[in-house]
Amino acid sequence: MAFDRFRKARDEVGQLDLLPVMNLMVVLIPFLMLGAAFYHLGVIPTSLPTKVDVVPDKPPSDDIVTLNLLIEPERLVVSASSATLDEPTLRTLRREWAAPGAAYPLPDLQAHLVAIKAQYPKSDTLVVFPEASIAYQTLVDVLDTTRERVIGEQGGEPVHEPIFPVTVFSKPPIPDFDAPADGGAPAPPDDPPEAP
Amino acid sequence: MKLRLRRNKTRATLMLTSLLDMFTIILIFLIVSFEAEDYDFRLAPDLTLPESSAQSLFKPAVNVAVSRAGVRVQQELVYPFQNGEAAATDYTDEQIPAVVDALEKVLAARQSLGVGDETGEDIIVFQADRELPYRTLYLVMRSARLAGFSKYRLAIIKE
Repeated sequence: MAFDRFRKARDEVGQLDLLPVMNLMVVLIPFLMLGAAFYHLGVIPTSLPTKVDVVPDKPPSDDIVTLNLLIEPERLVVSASSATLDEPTLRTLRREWAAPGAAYPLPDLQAHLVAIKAQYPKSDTLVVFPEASIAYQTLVDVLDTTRERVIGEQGGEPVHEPIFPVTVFSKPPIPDFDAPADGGAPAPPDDPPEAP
Repeated sequence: MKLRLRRNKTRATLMLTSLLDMFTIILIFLIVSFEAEDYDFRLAPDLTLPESSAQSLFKPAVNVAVSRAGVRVQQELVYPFQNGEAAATDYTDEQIPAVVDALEKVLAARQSLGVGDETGEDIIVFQADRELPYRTLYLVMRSARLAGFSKYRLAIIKE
């Protein structure tokens, strides 16, 4: 008797009809798959130096330096140029790292750039002189280090701080790059590059 | 005997609950990765973009793809490479005339339509293979400069 009552109660439980929901899913999923982005694209803003004959209307500032980064298969060199700073000051900003097997010391490079940025906060331009054979991915890896750094996390997302966000591509050789002790600072780009 | 007859009366039903669970998960994943904006950007099939942590957002622009096969301007192959590189004379001259010509035409067409960024300048988005040497990339960028483009965006895959 008790068994019959249980079976009756079980049979009376209404079952949810899931078929309309399934139909909706079958329509929605192909539609969303067409618009799904399985990779996210981004861009690195950049420019090439250009020659301009216009005299800048703003006076040169003491607290702005333009950095030059030479990327060779076996070494990295950073030097600075400025319209107002003297040669001894610029020479203190120069650093060189050996990179055997193209193992670039990127944390050291970033630390040096952060220190320069702290000293000259309005500076934002890095002129990059990669050697002709440097692979594009290697170049992008170096630029990731020089452009910005992660300073924390907010809501699970990293917070980035710009270091030298304006990147200008040029090509070696750089005049006086290997002779900093003789007072040679690399030539700056011919005109200010575009902001990103 | 009576019991056996009763058992045969129960209807066999398909258990859709687990299937529905799976569909729900797929649906959520697809909604999250759904991109409603069409950038008019077609990734060239014969290249692999570099990975980067760059935060700058993608904006529509003139597409130039540089792979080992050659240079494509707006999806059209304008200059095929030999053995993955441009001709030696192009490297010496620091320009590829065919690319300069193609980009000049694109720039003229876009200027007649009034297309450009907020400053009126036009932008090129370069998609280049991650293994390409810098000198090839620089050569194409310089050709773009000679054609009248001064702003470039290097397309990357976000890490």
